[in-house]
Amino acid sequence: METVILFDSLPEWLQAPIKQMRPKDYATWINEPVPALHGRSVVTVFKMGDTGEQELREYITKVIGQFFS
Amino acid sequence: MSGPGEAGENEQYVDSATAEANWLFEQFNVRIDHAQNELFDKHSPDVSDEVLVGRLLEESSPYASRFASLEAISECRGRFLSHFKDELADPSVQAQGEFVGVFDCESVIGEAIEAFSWQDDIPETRILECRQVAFSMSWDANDGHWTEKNGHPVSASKQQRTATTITPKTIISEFPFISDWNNAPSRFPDGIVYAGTAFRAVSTNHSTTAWDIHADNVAANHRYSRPGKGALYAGTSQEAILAELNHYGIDPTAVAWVSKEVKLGNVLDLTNESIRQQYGVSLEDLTGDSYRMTQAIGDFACQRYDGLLVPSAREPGATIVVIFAKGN
Repeated sequence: METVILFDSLPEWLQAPIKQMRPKDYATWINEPVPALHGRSVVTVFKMGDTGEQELREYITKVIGQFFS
Repeated sequence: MSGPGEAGENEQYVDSATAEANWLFEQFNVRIDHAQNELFDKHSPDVSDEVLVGRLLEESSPYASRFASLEAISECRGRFLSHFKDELADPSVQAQGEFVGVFDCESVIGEAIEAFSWQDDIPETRILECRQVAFSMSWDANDGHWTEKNGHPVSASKQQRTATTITPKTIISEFPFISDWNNAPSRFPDGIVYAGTAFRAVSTNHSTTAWDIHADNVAANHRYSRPGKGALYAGTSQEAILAELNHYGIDPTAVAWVSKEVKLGNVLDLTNESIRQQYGVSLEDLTGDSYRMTQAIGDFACQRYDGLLVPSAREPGATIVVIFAKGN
């Protein structure tokens, strides 16, 4: 059975920027495909473990660097 | 024997190739000096300079053999001085203040041209083989010596061959250790003046500082600015920015949209196909997933230009203006 990951269970470094990016639908959006993640969702990449975390950190760093600071 | 026009083209060409070669050679020497010190620190001091330099040349660049041709140019000058030594020593010639000598130099300049021109990406036809070279010398009466004003080939064969040229892309990608682009040769395209409205989307609580390059921007890995090198990315249209937001999954209603009239005096316009061709880069090089080429361009361009106009990687036909941080 596939593990369900809820928004609240994501680490804070991921939650905070996603709330800025998607204030209206962040809880559901984490399961939607993102072009910058090669069409995968945040949850899908997060489930990849260390590699996924690294990819998400780079993605978030880029988003914050260009749009949210 | 070729006509004046052909000789003129060749003059320009030799000047250009020589300037590029000399500049690259200087950059390479800096690297060699640095690397030699590193190697001597690490390895046996018994290794000779020649062996070390040879290894570095072999390992560092597929264009290493081209540097040997600089010696050919020097040799050409040396032959000139030797060939005209009697004339140059003649006080009556010295009293005239100038001396122009023409002599056969069929091989060495030809080799130099070939070495610096006949590889790489863009096929073109050029007159390449020089037959004679003229050096113009000025007599410095105060110091009592001749100074070389210039050296030009004055005639060339009409042989045309399909050649290819070194492009900025080649230089940038093959010489990644070059850090000083300020004095790079003029083969790099001229910048243009850009004036227009630029659009950005930022967090609602940062709309007043939307045009500042902040620490988070500098830290991020962007297409034309690697971590440590800040740059502002703006669209020349709202559509360009909307496409960026969609790419990253950002709700367009969750950001503040800001715009500003910008004027940049010296911008490298990579939306212009002819500039891309001069540069040796394709649209795909600029809009693909890899940042290798674009960041190399950014490293170089931030020292020579105020910014870039680049094709949007997200929206075909849209344009992004990249504004470099001062002091990069």
